[in-house]
Amino acid sequence: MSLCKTRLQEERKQWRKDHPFGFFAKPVKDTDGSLNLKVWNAGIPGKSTTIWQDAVYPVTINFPDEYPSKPPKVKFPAGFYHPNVYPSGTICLSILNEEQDWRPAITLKQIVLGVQELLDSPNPESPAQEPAWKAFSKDRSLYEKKVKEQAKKYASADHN
Amino acid sequence: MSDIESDFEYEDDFEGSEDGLYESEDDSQSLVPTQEDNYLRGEYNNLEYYPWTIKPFIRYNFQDKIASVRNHIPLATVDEALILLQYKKWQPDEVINAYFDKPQELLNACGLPAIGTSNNQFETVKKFECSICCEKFRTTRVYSLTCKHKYCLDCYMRYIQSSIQSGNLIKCMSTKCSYVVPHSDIDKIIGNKEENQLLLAHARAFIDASSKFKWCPSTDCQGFTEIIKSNGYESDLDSSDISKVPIVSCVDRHEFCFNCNYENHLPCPCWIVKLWIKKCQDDSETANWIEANTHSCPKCDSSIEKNGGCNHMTCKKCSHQFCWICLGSWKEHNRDYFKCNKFKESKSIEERKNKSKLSLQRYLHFYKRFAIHESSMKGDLRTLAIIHEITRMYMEKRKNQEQNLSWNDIQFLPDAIRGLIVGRKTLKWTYCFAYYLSKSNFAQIFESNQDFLNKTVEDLSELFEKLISKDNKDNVVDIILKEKNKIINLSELIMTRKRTLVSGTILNVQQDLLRFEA
Repeated sequence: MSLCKTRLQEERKQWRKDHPFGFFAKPVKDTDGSLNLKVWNAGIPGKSTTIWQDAVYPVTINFPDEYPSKPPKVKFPAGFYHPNVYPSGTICLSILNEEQDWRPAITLKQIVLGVQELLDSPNPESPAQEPAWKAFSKDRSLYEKKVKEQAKKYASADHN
Repeated sequence: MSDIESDFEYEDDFEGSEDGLYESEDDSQSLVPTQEDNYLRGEYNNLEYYPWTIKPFIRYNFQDKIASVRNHIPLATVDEALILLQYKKWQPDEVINAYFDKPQELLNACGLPAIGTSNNQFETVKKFECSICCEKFRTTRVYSLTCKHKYCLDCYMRYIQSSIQSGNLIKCMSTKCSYVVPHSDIDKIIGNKEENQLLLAHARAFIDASSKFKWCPSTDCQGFTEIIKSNGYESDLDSSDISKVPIVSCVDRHEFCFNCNYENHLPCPCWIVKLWIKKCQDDSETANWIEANTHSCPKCDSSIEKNGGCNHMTCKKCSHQFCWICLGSWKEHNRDYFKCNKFKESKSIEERKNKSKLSLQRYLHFYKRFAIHESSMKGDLRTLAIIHEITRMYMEKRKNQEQNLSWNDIQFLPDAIRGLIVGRKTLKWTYCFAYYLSKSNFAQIFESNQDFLNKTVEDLSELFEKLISKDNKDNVVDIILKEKNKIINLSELIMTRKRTLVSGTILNVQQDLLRFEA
């Protein structure tokens, strides 16, 4: 078995043993029904008392063959409204950038917690899309309105 | 041998000694540009530049600065000095100032513990589970920095290999841990025989990112060139002033244009080269190639593949001798003036009507000649490689028999070979130039200079080809020596004619006597 898979199995084991409240993460199923450990679907809850609350935001996590030497790619759905998310949905976050703060020891749990943290603490220094970045820096009320609309779209089941 | 390129002066041991990269206090000082004399000056363009290879570059720009840091911070190891310097972008003064100003801040930023207290370890451990690959080992080799985060060497190796390319400092694999892996440990971990892979990668990234450096575009060439003093070519990249075209040379004497990062394209200005290359790509490449590279014998129609550089063809089947360019009988070429260069517009009314067809024909005329010289150059290189090998073997034999023929006696050969290639390259680009040239009397002068150069290049190419023909199989070297004067004269004539053509063209364009039509 490839090294990447050994580690991913361990990640899965650890996740099942213990993961932060409100999150979910599971490998996708291939057409033949077997698990594909290199692609995961995960859900990231917005922190309560923030404009992101009461919703679980879906991400796909793609692990490259070189994982964990190289970081996985984490994506929201295309068009996701956030200053640090590219129009394609790719998240711009230093711990997911191999030229910046990626380290092979970073776990799945740390990744999803990092993404959750990013939701309400965008980094205006590295804008990835124009609409959300512009609104965030110039028209905060428009920004909050848009974020809340998006939260309704991804509202978590227990609030519906 | 006379001054084929009088403005190039190279020391034979330019590559420098093979000493390890860590030993910077050897006699390598002489390899770096300390005096203005060491800079090269372009033949026509007044550029000052310096051709580098990577090892002396690293030594001069990076490693030679280690000593001055260690003079002020005596306890620092070579590795620590390298990390501090790389962090401060190789400014020793900044390292020293920052160290005496706020040492802890600098060390934290660089990922170093207090100077002299680094405790990086390679160990063999029993019953170890690596948290990166999640393998459980009975015994394995592990590596840790001062932070004591231990991981197996295989994981460290993969991690380093995947991140070394960027040339940045490499940190501990643990989350948020900022300790930096020293340069020498990186080499130990990836087990590379070449020393200091991180500095190599760092230097490459540094060169790529700087506009003062360009890699030589020749295939497999590792050289790169630094512009020391510009002639201002950057301010007007679309200029027709050919005297400013930034032609530089690498350590292997490959000439290239610093602006286009393309081979020496004189006498063409850069903007014409761009137009030409784009045009050649746009028009159907296959059609162009077939037109330019394949011919049938004009007498017996046998398919002919040209395998040498000379354009004087003899059909293997019917022995008909003809010119590869115009497909006319070769006899006419010897008796008459070499007429193969000029494009004669057809007088036929029908074709005059059909302007686009004519324009395609005109393009193909020049493209064909451009492409022929390019492929002939490859043929020349093959011929010359054979000659080189034959002479080498001959000299080996001679040495044993103690005959009084020395290397000096055949040293004219490399120069002549270079002359042929340089001449052929200039010739090739004259066809691109001619395609965009407006008709005028001065254009005719250009064409006749082109003819002269063409004739000499073909003569030398043919002479070389004859030397290695099957009839001469056993006494090639004797014939080479017999033809020595002829070879020297021809190659000098090529260089003279090349210079006349290029400098005359530069002057006439400057004085607006030659104009472009694009």
